[in-house]
Amino acid sequence: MSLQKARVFENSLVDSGAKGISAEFMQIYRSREVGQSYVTSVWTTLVATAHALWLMIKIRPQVVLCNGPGTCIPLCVIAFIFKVVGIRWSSIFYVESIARVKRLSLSGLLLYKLQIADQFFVQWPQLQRKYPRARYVGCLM
Amino acid sequence: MGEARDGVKVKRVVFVTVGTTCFDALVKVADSQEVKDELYRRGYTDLLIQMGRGSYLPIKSTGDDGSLAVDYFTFSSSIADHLRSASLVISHAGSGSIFETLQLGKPLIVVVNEDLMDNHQSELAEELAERKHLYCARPLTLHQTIAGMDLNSLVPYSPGDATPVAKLINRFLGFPEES
Repeated sequence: MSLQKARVFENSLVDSGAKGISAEFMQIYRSREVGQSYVTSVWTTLVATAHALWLMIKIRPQVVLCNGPGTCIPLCVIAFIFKVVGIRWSSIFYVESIARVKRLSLSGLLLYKLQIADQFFVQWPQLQRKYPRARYVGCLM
Repeated sequence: MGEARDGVKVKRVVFVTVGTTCFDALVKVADSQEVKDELYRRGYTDLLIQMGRGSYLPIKSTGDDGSLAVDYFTFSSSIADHLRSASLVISHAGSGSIFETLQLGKPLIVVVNEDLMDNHQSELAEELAERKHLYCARPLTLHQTIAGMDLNSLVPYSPGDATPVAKLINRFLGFPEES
């Protein structure tokens, strides 16, 4: 659904002349499906991480911008590790979901506590008060 | 209330949506006599239920006998069209449904699914209800909410703007500020 909407939006930008080339879309593996057992999750997380590593090396993004699902964690962690060892390809930006008003998501909590994101954005003032290193940007929708 | 000049009844549709979820409790209560009677009393003529992955099937009705006309479907590729033609939307607490409805300026009652574990979705519905952008209810309180709602008291929602985020990111990356 989101993929379809994103494609339509990108094509509309190209059609209106706002940009020259449409964005490229690719799918990445999830570390864990909702309700999946933790035992099998170990394996799927390793697969997702290996896939993320391959993508990071192939694409070498200058910017990683993500918005919340656990799927973004392997990418962010790998980008962060690269930075730590001196391969400074990517700046990492995280925007917490608009549905998170009082508590961060698990992905958000991990990235905030481990200080993995270069900039951490929240959409509600309550979160900014609770997590002072976050930047409040208001509702984006 | 419902009659146009030429005697044709003006349709006022209540659209119930559960998105891609399974939310039988909402579908069931929307289809209950109590809620249907309340909606009819408030001047609505049609009830259209998008039931998603649920297993409870509402009872269709033409409404010819002086009651609410009821219809349902599972999924649609054009939910936006249904939202646009609705006079009242009753939705699950998914942020996509909520903001799509608010951006269309439609009156909205959000029903929180109490069966969900980790119900962080209710935070969004409650916050927006506190700001008077919508009404928030539970399946068991839906008919009371419908009975007591004053749609004129709802505050229109102004769509958000992502430009501040883009500006902050550009500044961090060292791009010159656009004047």
